[in-house]
Amino acid sequence: MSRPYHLTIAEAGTNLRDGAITSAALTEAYLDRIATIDRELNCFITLLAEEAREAALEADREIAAGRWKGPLHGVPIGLKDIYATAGVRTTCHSHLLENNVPTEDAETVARLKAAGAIIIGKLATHEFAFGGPSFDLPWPPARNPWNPDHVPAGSSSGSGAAVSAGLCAGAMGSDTGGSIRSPAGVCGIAGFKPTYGLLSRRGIYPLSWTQDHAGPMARTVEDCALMMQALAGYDPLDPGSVETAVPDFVGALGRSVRGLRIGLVRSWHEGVADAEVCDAIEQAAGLLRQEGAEVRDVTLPDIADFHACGRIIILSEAWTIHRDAVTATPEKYGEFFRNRVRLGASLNADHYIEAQRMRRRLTAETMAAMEDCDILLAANQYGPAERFEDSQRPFPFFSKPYLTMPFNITGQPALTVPAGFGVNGLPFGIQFAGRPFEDDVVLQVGHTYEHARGDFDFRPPV
Amino acid sequence: MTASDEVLSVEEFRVRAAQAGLVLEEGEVDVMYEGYLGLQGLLARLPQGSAFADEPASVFMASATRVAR
Repeated sequence: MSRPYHLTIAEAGTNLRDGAITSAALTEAYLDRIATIDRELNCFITLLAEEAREAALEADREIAAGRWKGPLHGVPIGLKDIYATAGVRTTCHSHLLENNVPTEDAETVARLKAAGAIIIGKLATHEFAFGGPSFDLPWPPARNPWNPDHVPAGSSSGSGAAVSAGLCAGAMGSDTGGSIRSPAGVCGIAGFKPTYGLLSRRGIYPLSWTQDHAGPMARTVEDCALMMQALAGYDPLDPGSVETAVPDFVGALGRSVRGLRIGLVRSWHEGVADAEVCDAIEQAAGLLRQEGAEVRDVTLPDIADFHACGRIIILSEAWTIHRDAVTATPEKYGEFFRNRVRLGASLNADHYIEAQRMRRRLTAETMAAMEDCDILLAANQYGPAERFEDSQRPFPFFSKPYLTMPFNITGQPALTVPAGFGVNGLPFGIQFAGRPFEDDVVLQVGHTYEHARGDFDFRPPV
Repeated sequence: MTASDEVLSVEEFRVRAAQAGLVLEEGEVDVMYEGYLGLQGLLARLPQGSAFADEPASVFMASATRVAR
């Protein structure tokens, strides 16, 4: 099999189950590719080559013995380096935790391992999922495989770049204001932020307790669904975890969207986003209509209100998390993270409380708007990835509002799917969001769009 | 400081930062003050004048916002 690193998780899983490829061969193909091209992309902070080889051999033995665990069994997966891994350093891409070796896996990592996934390495991130892209950290920032002069966005930068470049079949990211969906969009892959509470965050270094979400990043929506099936479930040791039935994410992919009501959110992007982005959203609406969905305009609160609310909450909570270390040892942080997190010292309890009040109002208004629609269709970004030299701003969140922030505020599930290319030839995505705990419906609609859209070649030229 | 407070001058900001435990180098004050001014634009969007009986903030739970289909 030539270039097995281009297989989707679904394809790899089927081939592994049927004995058409071994996990050892698949893992070696990824390791070879990493050795060849990651010097330019800087996706990996810690490569777990020997551990992955051993795990792959064990997976092959289990599959050969008839103990196939499912579609992730024997498939190499990468982890954003804020996910705790037992016995393996977890750095958060920071000097501060350069030698941090946890004793336990994050709950999501344990679930991936239980599903038979091969953990191939720890991936670059913006420092503590907040400060980057930075050049004053122990490891360089990840680069966009579509053009290394451009950023892969963040903060799950290494995860987005690595999946896009074929350095792992899927990866875990985290999303506090869009950190799964932004890199997914600019790297031309799918990224899913599940409903708040559906995936455990235990063992993932926090940035903002009430806005942090764990989630999968993969080449297709189907692959995200396969990962979700292994990841989702109640964790009594995560205070944000919700005890609820886990949907059949994979089964939902086969359902028709006929009769589903899609709310098109125009006000967030029209007149602001690139023409290619606006066109892609209109095309997506048309394709879903052809598939039998009803598409109608929907009015949601001002995107700037979501952005302000989310940013104040993040700054407040991040300051609480990092205050002691950043005041005692500021030199152990990169400049971007240090300055951004210290901005939280300017906020007081009443700001935080008013932001949480605002959050309640924004969530109620969004839910009210969704009484007439099942899914929201919105822009994911204003255009393709920016160049590195344009990304070196101390406080990037004072420019345009983040289009991904609303669903961190409301906790709704939100999915980014590749949708086209900008004038510079770099990809961008569009966003689908659903009601809380209707993650299966979001994946269903995203999968339908992905297939209706046609077979774009979303593989970068590396 | 409340959401309706006057914007601090750079000197007042330096004092406030020190009170918060931040030791800012000379070059950092200007950068941080620029960030502080940017933050005022976000704070201006927060609700003002909430009544005492308005719902207090609490830990967000998505399950509390679920709408039945």
